[in-house]
Amino acid sequence: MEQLSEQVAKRGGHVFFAQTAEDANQYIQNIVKEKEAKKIVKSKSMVTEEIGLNKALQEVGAEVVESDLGEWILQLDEDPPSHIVTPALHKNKEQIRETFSQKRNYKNSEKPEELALFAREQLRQDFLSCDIGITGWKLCRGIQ
Amino acid sequence: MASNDERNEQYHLTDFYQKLQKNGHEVHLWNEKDGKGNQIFAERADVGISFSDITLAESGTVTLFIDKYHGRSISLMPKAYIAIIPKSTIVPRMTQATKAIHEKQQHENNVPSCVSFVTGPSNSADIEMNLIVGVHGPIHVTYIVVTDA
Repeated sequence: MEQLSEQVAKRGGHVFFAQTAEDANQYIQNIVKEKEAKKIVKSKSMVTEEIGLNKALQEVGAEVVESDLGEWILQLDEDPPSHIVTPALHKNKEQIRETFSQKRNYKNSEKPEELALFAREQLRQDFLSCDIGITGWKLCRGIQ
Repeated sequence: MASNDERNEQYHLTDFYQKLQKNGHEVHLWNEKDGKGNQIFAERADVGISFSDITLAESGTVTLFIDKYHGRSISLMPKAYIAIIPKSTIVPRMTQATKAIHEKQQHENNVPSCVSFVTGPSNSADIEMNLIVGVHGPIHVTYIVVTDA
């Protein structure tokens, strides 16, 4: 961990060791404030779910957009995930179509291909206009 | 949208891009001085083209060393992505790729800030477990293997 941290710092990055969920959220909130970030795009991450990061980001006035298709569907509907890999498994395509049309004025069919294409176009705008991106880490490498 | 790669000349891509331009296509090579301009072009580009630095046979993965001449948007933003694969870059699997990256770090102390492993277009099964190809990244991915030395 120390080696990893040193190597990241040497390349101009920052590593923060948080003791608690609150510490982690506070550190991230401070970055958001410092950068005056309005929009944040976040990948699917169980750690951020566990520490309640989305709520912490909203507390400092930032809009958070989930980039994972399943998580994005749930976010539009303000619905919690039901499955760790496919979080929107409890919704059928008709329900997803309904969510998209109510929340985002979607006009096409309930075909999964058309729904996904719509999400792609919507999220692309978020990728291009966001101030901060957040992802989890699956694997770290601290080389010398 | 293509990388500004030193191999472009050797693989006759420079000529090819000029021909495309003559035929009325817009071609933009990643320009390290252009910052956000590269991304704006990549966002509306139909095709991204770059070289694979290490290619993994077992998983069909191209490894991209990202730096100021090879921006990450090239393989991510356009609708289609073409990877030029010099045959000599093909290794069995991730084992050899990590070894090569480790050696690069030890001998050259120069591992790029981002190493992308790209295994085809992005997939999702989030809607009723239906497999959909091409959700965020390119919808079409083509690998062109070129016999080199």
